[in-house]
Amino acid sequence: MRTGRKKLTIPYLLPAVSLYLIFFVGPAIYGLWISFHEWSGFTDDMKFVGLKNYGKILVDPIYWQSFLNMMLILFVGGIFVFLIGFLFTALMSQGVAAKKAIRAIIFFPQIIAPIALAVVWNYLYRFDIGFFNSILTSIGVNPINWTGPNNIMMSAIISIIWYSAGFYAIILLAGVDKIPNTIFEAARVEGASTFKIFTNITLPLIWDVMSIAIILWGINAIRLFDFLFAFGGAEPPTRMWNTAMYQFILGFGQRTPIYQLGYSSAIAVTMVMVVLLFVVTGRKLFKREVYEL
Amino acid sequence: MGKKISRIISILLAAVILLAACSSTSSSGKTTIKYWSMWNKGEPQQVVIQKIIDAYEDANPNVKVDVQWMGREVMSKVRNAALSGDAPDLTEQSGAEVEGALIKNKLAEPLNELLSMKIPNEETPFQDVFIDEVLPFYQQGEDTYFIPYEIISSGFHYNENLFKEYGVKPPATWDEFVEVNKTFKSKGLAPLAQDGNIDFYNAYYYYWLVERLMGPGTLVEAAGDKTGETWGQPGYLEAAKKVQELVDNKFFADGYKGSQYPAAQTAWASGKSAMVLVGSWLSSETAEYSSKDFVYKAFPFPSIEGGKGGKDQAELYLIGWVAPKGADKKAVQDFLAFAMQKKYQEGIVKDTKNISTRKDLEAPEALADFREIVVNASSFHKEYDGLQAEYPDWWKTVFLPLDDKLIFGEMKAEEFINELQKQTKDFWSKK
Repeated sequence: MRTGRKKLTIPYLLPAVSLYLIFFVGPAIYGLWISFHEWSGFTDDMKFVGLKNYGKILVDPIYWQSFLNMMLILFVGGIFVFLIGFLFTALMSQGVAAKKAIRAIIFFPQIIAPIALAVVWNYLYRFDIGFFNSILTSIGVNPINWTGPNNIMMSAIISIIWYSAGFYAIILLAGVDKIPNTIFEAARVEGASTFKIFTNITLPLIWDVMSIAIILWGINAIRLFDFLFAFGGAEPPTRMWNTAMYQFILGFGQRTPIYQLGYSSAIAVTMVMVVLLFVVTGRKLFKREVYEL
Repeated sequence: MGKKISRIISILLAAVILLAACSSTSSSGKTTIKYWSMWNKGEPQQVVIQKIIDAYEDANPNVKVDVQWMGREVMSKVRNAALSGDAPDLTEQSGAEVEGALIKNKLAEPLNELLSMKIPNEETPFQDVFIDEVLPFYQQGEDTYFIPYEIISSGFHYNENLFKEYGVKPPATWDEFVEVNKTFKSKGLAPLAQDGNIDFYNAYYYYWLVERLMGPGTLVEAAGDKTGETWGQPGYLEAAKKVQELVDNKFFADGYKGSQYPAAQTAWASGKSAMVLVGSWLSSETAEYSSKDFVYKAFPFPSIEGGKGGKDQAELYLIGWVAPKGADKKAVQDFLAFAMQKKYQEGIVKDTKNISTRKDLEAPEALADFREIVVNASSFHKEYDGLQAEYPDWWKTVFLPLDDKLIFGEMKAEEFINELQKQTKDFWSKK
């Protein structure tokens, strides 16, 4: 019987494994192979250059600027996304009325295409007739150049936080829902404050959900592309490129026929490394005994 | 049972093979031109080209033009298709992109026979219908790869009525230009509109100043100098100082550094600023925002006293067709000869409001000045001196970020030149 089952395992696994190998593992290995070459992607003429592309990354100021932007989104954006997420979690675990309505509202930005959101935010940030500057000028404050060279990245991050916070709050709230209400009620009867309930009950009991949410945020923040690309306008300025955008522009040129597929692939490999590093470190940091309910 | 199933499968297979054979027979004898266009469905140019295709198919029932409206990123798609041996027979983009992506990679077919072909219903040789110098502009040696049908050029756009209202005439020299700016500023109108988030719009100022001061080819020369020393020549610094002069005098409209396209140009069209330096596409882009008394006019970038590049020198930014490697050249050339007929190219002028490359077609009223600049030019240079095609990565990762800093006032002229010298040298040392 067991031998029969074993015989069946391979045929059952084969379709899924082959699809995974062909469409995920294969291209990834090919991408790694391309990263050791100089190649425009237009001809068969691939020149093997070994680790030259990786050496170039080390001294490429645009790469490091884009890396910094990626880190800003990951950490600055991440801190605020989860602060807002926790705020919602703390409030909701207090038995707020119209829970479902609040959840739906905070989730709304997620159902709109990031490109449409980017266009809307650009209008809100406009210097002359933008929403924020209209408010500022109406109270006698000088308008701010939100999308000016010094502010554009922070403005983009504010928008990213706005549309991401709801999604991660919903994940955290799903974790809170698992916690029986009786625990909160007992704590309240004992006189525990909202903060104490959050830190001593909610947080430990949603620890596994939170760690998954943080890792998910990390992966999404590192590979973030669509919103930022659209937010940058017709030709996003270099100062707001993150690594994913830099990789795309080098590989596919956009309006400038750059086409450095080899170098672009090397940058993509570094992004994979950052994702791996984040996931492995995250999992180690968040490893903790899970409380059974 | 097993035999029955295998018999059914055999019959089905045979039917599929027969059907496949039938379909190839029905299509045999009919030539298909696979055409990937840079226009999106609904754009005026798409409508004009679709009309040409319909007329061509009617006139040639044995030819089908299989067109796909790919949008501006068409070259990336052509590249991927070329790698798998499935490139289209015909595609289009700006000359710089076509040159950088296809011609320089030897991935385009020369269309030399087309030049002497007669244009249907006109009996004129193909090459004779073009404005002088336009057709051979992207020629490589004896070979012609690129067939332009739309001309774009850059210069200062203004509203003639607004200039009259402020008692200002289009300036011919840099000094006059600065004075005009001062006049507008003193009267409370922002002299220059600028959508600062588009780096290649910002680059117009420095590029044109170098063209006027040092002549065409000098930007490419400096960019290609692996030592970076060429940037040390005084003309490059003088051009940067003139950009700085505009910044220091606050001639650009408030908020220009963060202006997201098309905010500044629409504000200009509604009379909130006086001039804008950009391509000739501006009038069609802003037409719906301008008032009824708005009279579109343009003047070329002012000349500079003692400069080597005069106002008789024009920029040519061409949009046109190219046949990627492996294309059905005969079919493509036949189609292009048909497409260049006057009655179809009129659509470029009337419907798309652009300048046609045909010499017997006038420009739309708003672009008449631009056409005059091009037709009367004694010589031409490529947009941005050809840097986009020649050194695209240097252009994008070295020049444009530094130029942004110069025009945003984050960097003084001397620092800009020093950084260009240093970063150009670094750039080439990594190659």
